[in-house]
Amino acid sequence: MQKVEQIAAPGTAAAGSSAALFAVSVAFCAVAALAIGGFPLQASILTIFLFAGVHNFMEFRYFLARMPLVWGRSTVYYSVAIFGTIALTAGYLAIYFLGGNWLWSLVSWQTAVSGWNTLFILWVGLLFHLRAKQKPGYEGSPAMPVAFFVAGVAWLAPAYWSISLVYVHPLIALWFLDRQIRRTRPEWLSAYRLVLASVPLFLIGLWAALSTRPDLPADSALFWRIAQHAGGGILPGLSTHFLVTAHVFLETLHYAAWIVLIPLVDRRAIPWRFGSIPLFAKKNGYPKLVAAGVALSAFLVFVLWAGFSIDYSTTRDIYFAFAIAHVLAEFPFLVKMS
Amino acid sequence: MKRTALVLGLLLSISVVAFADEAPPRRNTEPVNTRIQIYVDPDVKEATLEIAPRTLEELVEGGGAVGLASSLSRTQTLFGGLLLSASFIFGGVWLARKKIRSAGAFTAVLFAAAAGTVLVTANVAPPTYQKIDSDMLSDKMKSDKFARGQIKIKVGDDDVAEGIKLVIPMAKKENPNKK
Repeated sequence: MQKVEQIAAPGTAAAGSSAALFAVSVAFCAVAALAIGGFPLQASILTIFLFAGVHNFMEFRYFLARMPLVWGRSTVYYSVAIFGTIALTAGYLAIYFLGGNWLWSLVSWQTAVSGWNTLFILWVGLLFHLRAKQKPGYEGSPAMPVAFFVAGVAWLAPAYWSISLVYVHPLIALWFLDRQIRRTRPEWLSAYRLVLASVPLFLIGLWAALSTRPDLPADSALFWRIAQHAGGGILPGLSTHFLVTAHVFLETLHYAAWIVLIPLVDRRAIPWRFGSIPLFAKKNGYPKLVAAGVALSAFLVFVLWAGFSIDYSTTRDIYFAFAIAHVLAEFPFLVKMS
Repeated sequence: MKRTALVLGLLLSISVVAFADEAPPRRNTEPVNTRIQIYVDPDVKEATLEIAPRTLEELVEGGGAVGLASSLSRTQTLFGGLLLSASFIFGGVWLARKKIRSAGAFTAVLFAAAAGTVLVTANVAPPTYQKIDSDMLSDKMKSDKFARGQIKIKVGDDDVAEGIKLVIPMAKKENPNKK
């Protein structure tokens, strides 16, 4: 009898924690949807101010813990990943900051953007291809045909491609979380996937409630930029009230995943646990470099807060330009975990 | 190396001459497809038509602009077509390398999905928003069929999202107590 209790206890605890995860997550989504739907512009400003830098720090810390010291047979993979991240970031910043130059016409600027999109998509396709080659029983991979197809579509509908990136990026954090739960907390996987299934329901609810509302005021450059970022102007049939709410809602889930849930699921992502970073803890590692990197990224969080406090609009623009680096850095790790 | 530098230098110097001899930009006769927003603003005293800088740029450039509002440019069509062709070529090679059974299943799923889109799009409700048509006008305007008056035209600043923004002042209502 005692043995049965001992066996049953962990299962009951797992069921209890899964139920708690589901209940808390759905309640969080409901509160977030209501609050953001009521005050979308304010919510956008506040969430970016509070969490943008912090979530980048947590992402950097998580990737640091996942980077192996010795690359072995993944040398080509990591080389392509790092080179691509650096080159694409540099290209993006060049297009972003030189875009206003008088030498660039609108057509040449849009051609450059489409060229960058193509390189980005083919790079992600190449990462999937290289990853597939590492798996046993490799029989070719559909990664490159799919990448070429997506790149073609991105040329034909650049505006829709850009807006899809804006909405897909927050979901990537949820994909990371799914991969991580499968590895370290498999007992939570079913509950987590139920939470994931509820996200479209929340979006449908927001659409039903807000899609016919009048557009949000665009009487300042900041409000206009927030609405544009969420797809105002690209999706004319939808109220910007709905678009901004949906975007901020997804961004909030993204921030919650990186700041709270991923460290909860993977103890190696807890910032002060340096022992879990192979590059720091292992012999032949680079402890000083890692410590300096973590300290610098923590410092940048404070710089960002100071910037937002002094000039929110300018800091927001600069932040979103440089934030492309973290968007790109996500792909190699995500593909590696797939 | 020296020869390459000399040739490059020569090419660059010739390009200056080429630009100097370039014909003036052609006048745009192509219409630009864009959007208009109409606002009634009680704080303004005269109607103002604001043109977004991007729309103005499209007009100046002669309808060659790419993007959502305008038609596809040649560059877009060329690269889009090339990449889609590459996709089908590489996809075909991949399918050919795979076992015939799974390739057949994949093709069947692809065709089923393509056929399904007809049903999906057929059931999509049209988007609801205020169209620019006579329903938005007052009964007087509908019967008179015109309105005239002064209007300011200016290139808008960043507040103009895109296209053209028409700001209309509120009509003054007669005070019923005034005699």
